[in-house]
Amino acid sequence: MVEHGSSNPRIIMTPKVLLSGVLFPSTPAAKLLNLILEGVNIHVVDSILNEEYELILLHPSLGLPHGRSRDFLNKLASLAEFVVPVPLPFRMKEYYGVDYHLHSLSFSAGCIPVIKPALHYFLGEQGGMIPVYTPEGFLKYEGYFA
Amino acid sequence: MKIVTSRDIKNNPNILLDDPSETIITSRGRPKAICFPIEEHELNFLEDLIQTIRHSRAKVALERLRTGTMILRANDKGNPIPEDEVSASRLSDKILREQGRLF
Repeated sequence: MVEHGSSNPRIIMTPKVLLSGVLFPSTPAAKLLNLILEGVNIHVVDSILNEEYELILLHPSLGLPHGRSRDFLNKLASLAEFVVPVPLPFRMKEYYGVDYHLHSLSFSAGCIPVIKPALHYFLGEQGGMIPVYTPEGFLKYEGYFA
Repeated sequence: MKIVTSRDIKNNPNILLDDPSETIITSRGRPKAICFPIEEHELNFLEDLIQTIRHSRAKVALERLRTGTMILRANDKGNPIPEDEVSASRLSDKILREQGRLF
């Protein structure tokens, strides 16, 4: 687990971005994952998001090698900053729907960016409370070209 | 790189200090830990050193996972590993929905 107070940019990565990064090494998601593994960016998780990473990568319908996936998830978790999210007001839960959890986590970690594969359905983008990017958008924002 | 067993260390703890090289410690025939020498001045950077090792191990784990996935794809044509980002995304949604995580 990383130490708090580090100056490296912190981000929240959805399970889909993680899966893309693992499976498709030439994608912006993979570049983002490499930046995390190199320590340039720090990924922030809570127990729920970490469980979702495991649900996806270890699910038998995906057919990934189980032992290697488990090993990678353990190593990835050792680099993560764990946050306990504070609950947001109930009205916001109604408004943000499925993205409520990501909002709550981002807000608790200091309104850090959420990296999603597509912005289309992300209500938060309209709400403007937290920054939301695609992997490509985030890399461009950070000065990398995917 | 030297390999010692946990029993060797129990019998002679100095075995780790006598040889200034990296040592793999095994227990019941399996590698369990690695011991490497440090200089006094490195104590200030110990956390950085450990963090560097964590990052390197994570990179190696990712490469192993990708290699394992490629081998599975090549050897097992019926394997369900998604071939593109769109199908990977759909499959993720399906898994999360089944688990009640996505509505």
